[in-house]
Amino acid sequence: MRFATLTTRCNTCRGRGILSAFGGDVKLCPRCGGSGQMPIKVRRVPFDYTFAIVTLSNSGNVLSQPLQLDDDSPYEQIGWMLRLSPGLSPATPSVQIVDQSNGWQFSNNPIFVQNFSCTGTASGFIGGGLMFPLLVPYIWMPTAQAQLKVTDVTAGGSNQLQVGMKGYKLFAPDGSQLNLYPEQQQAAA
Amino acid sequence: MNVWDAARLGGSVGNRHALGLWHPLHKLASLGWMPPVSQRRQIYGKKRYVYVLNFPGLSVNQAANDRFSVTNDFWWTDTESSTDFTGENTQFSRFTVQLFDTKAQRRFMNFPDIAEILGGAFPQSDPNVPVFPSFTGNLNFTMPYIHRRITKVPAGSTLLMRVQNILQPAAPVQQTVNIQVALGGYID
Repeated sequence: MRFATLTTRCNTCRGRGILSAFGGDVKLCPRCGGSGQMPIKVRRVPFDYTFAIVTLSNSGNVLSQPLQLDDDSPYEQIGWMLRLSPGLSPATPSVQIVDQSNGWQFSNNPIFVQNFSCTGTASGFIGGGLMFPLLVPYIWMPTAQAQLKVTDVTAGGSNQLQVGMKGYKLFAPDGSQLNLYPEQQQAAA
Repeated sequence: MNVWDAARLGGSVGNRHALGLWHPLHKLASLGWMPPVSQRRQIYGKKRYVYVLNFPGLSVNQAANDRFSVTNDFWWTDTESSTDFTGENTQFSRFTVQLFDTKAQRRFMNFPDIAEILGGAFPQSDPNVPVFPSFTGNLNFTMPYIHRRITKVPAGSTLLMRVQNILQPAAPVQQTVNIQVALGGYID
């Protein structure tokens, strides 16, 4: 399993983070500061992905909602949005999200919607407040498929739930498609 | 505080004009919920993960324990907690939480925290605003509490959580509540 980051291997130290110095000593690579990684230059274009609205109607059902990401660019997600519209009765759906491209689950168990993304209420709607920020952006690969699993524990009525992702599409500085693994291309060449 | 030194505060933008001397000098928009850069640096390149602990069916004054083991290093950044809304449990209810690190023999609080202290501010919702048509009242969940300092839980640690339902208001039928506490963070 490999996860994408917005860094590439430092060419000066070849990813080691250190350089050999005179006399057999080593010193930190002055270019990357010892991390062995260099940031990739990207152009960010704001873009939101949203799952289709899930209508909750039956108690105990597990509803699955896929979301296919575009193939033109990787996606840098910076936060979650969630909104649960009121139905006929109170509801506590639990959600779990999986990145199908690498199998990453964002939690070990389904999470109540209030715990997943709720940063306030607006006009009585749950989750109608602010975006729940990701302190570290999550990079979705092009054509990745996100899977939203909703465990419906509604006692009755029909509540509607929508989950969305806020973030940026990542392009190369000239607007072309971004290659997140340039070192692999170099090795292949 | 000497107002002429106010510009030395972090996040300030300096004096705006003479008559606005006592106006707030902080930026109008700030990342209030974000740990500082020095803290976020240690979780760079890591991925979001949430450990969820469920305590179903707790009646009044009933307590329950649950634990989970951390397989990779876990950087704990935020906490959320709530009860469910199902059935009659939309009534205002409260619970306390205690958290221990059994490997490091460390307590994270000296006394059980009431959920809104653990999870952040209780939403001040208007009791007259209907959240659901059949329910008007306070919501029994907390805002996420995002830590200013990130706590590293080393791999191999076992966190033990003890939850007690301390309040169940008068209801037509005495029911139980399902409590969930989520510890959010980032792992390798």
